[in-house]
Amino acid sequence: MSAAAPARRAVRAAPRRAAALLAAALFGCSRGEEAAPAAGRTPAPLPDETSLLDAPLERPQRGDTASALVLYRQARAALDRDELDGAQSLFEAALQADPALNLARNDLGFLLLERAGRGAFGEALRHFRLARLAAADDALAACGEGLARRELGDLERARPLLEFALRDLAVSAEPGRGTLARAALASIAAAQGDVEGALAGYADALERAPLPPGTAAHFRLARAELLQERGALEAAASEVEQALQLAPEEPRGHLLMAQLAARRGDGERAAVERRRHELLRALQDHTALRFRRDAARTLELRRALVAEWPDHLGGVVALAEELLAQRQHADALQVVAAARATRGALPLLIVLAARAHAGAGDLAAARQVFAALPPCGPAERLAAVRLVLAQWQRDQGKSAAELARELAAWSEP
Amino acid sequence: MSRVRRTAVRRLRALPCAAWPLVALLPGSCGDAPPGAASSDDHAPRSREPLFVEHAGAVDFTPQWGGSGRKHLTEITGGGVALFDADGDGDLDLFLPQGAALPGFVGSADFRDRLFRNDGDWRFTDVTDASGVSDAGRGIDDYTYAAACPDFDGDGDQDLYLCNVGRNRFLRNDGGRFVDATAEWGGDSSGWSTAAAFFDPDRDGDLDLYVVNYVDEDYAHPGCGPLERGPEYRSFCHPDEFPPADDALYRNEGGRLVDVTRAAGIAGSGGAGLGAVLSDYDGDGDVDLFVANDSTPNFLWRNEARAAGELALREVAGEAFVAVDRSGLSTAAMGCDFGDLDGDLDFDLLVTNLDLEENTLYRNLGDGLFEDRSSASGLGPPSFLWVGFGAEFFDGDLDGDLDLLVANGHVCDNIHLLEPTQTFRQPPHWYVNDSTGRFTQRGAEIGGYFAGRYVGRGVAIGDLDDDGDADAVVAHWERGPALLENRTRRAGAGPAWLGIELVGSGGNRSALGAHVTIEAGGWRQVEEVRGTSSYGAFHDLRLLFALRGAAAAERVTVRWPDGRSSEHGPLVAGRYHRLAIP
Repeated sequence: MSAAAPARRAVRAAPRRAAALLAAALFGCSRGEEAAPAAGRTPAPLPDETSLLDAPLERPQRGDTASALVLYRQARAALDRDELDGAQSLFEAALQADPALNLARNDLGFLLLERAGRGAFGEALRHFRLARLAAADDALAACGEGLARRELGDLERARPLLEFALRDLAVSAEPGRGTLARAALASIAAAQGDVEGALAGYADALERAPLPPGTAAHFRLARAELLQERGALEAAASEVEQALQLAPEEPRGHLLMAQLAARRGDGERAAVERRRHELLRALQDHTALRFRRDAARTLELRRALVAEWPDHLGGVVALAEELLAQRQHADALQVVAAARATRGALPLLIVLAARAHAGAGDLAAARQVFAALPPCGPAERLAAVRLVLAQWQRDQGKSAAELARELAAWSEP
Repeated sequence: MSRVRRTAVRRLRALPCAAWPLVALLPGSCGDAPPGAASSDDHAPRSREPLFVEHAGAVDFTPQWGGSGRKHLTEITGGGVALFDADGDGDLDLFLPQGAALPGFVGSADFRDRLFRNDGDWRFTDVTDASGVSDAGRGIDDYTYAAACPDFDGDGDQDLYLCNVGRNRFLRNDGGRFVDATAEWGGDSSGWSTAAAFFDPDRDGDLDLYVVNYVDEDYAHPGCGPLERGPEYRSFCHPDEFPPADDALYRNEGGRLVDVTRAAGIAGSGGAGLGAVLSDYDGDGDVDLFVANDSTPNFLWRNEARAAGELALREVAGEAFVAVDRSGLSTAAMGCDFGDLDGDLDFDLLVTNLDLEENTLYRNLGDGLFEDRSSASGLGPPSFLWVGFGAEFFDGDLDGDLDLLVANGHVCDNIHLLEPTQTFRQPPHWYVNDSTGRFTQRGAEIGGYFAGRYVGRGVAIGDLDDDGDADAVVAHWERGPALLENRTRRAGAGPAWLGIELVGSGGNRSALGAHVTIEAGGWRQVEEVRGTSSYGAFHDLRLLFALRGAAAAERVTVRWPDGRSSEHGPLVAGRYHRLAIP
């Protein structure tokens, strides 16, 4: 795993903050990174720039397609393994071999869109434009270019591209990009004042199941915002409720619910949602090194969230995880025990308790707790055992050989 | 909306899409002609008189920020501007703050803050030395970010308060010559100050002061960035790397500003402030204050005083839903301005943000609540690529609604190394209001300045040529300011207008915080006297209104900052009217 992976994981976990997180990765210095500054004044600014939306491009020329396809397949395999850096490098290598291989260019463009970092949208746009120069009727490239232009705020030119792409049956029926294109068109409609069109567009996108829960939540929140703008506060609240079922720790959902409650005169609910929003915001909002190093702050916020919202199992689990990450095993056990007292012996809580015991070095207690795990498949059971023993290995400083021995012992009937 | 879009892109790759690689090999199934990739007709200049003409070279000024290559955050965000009548001759003069030598700076530069006298006909004379406004530029106490220009002592001329990275200074205007009165008047906040709002929150008739402070930069550890890639990658640290600096509140006690930050509950608020703007946003007759905070939640200080003499500001940005944008997270807020964008007689709020964050437009719903309408207003999506600093609402085309000017410019001078599709210099944006609060961006057709790219910072608005339309001064980081003449009423032609200059009493002669309603032709407009707003800017205190063809305003109602109100009228179109507190 590359050094950039943690930042990337963070970006993927909270894409709205891609800019800030990547800024933290790029600009977030450790104090030890300093180099001797150049003498003299601030350097002169850079040369004139061209508009990234319209930078002139040359049509890609056909190259060694056979070699490029080999690299392309390797890139796809890397992508399937979630090795994004490797996949990107291989796509780029494939395009070096054959600049007109739209398979690779489109995949690279979508990968860049997915990575969503600073500069990625513009680079994705460049690839999709090149793909369309290579093949003007490439509907997938049109889809990608439309999405990239939408991301970059170029709504006027995004819309016809997306509409063109969706007239292509293969793109339209494709559950990933087709859904994205529909949602992007809905967001353009919203930005252009067509509330009805936007609502219908998001509804259409939501029907393209199965959607990942977070994506569905975002579409529902977009609908809720539109409904709120139209004054349909009850309908908007219903959308937010559904969104929060799907993504309970989404700050945007709690903010919107607070706003709707305030507008409906429900001050008590508004205050509750505002407090939850503020805690979730504080957990997600700050990315500078000084915050990332401040484990106590994260714990404090996590504890406050559990106190504020005890029904939220995800919050309890996140607090326990944070405590385990900081080797505070006794506190983690306490948190899990409190949750088990009210919720019963959920497998998730059993594994957390076993991890806490194991992390503290008490494997006997860990095994005793683990014995209460309800019957499950061998693969699931093995995964749970690995989690428990990984905690033990990390926190007790055990070797790989000791881990292997313990794994074998736990695997015996 | 950006959160939706990016999340969707990220997560949908996980869906089964075995078929989609094949899509690229398939021709368009419907036989439609694909849309053109690069039609630029939408932005082509139109053949008509430009709205704004830049008077290049009208002032001889090159900003100096005292950088050394260490990349102190201080050196990249400067660029304030103030318009005020420094010499009492009735027209607007121009003050431009300057930096100072930062740690590591080698060599020499002219760091004097500058004052340019308006000689009419878009000619300006440098009167810096004669006026006494300048400092020595020796260190952070002389590093000036912004200025505010109230008539603090009520003697009929505008004084000059300087927001410095170090200790702030207050200069008294003695007939066009400025004398340091900080020891006498107070207000010497010592944080990194970025804005100063003079107003009368306790309604006792004199001006109190709210100072917006940014962060406590650590000059011993400058610069951030992926230095393993080379020294040229050294860049400016994200402000989150430094603790936010507390804002400060000073209460006027007999002509002296006394620090009441702690007593008033301002201390410990934790915002990295960059912009401020006054408004009676809740329409309860007293003045409130919004502070734009960079990467920390914004502040909205609601005035809850119940009687004259009481000082009671409560932070309600969360309750009002202006602390963060619709994503639920804070933004890199910089500029900010209030304006009635949709004609419903309350004040909506704009905040400018970093690239990859849209500028945020909060519509005032009444009852103290706002709603994020960035997307529907048309102001959000076009701003996504750009780093917005100064932003001001004003009726540039005199059609009776508020348009918007935004100065853009990145905060990393080597951003092209870090992300090749981003740029340091960026185009300014002009947005035209359709009178309902929906905006359309215009480009070069409104003036050649808008076809260029700059590192834009502060924007100040004022009628520099006294012809009844609002001109603009845009301060830049890398070059002198753009003086933009509004040609709407060139040579006396153009739409009917009405100008109002308010004269308050006692310690608030500038009438800062006054609220004005005009009624003309069965139609009403509202404005406020704010002075400070947005990013590092102080504006013309006179108010301009378009009359939509009416020959006069039948009635003008002024709600004065101390709570009194007065009615005036009819007031004929085509001139400024000086209205004094009764």
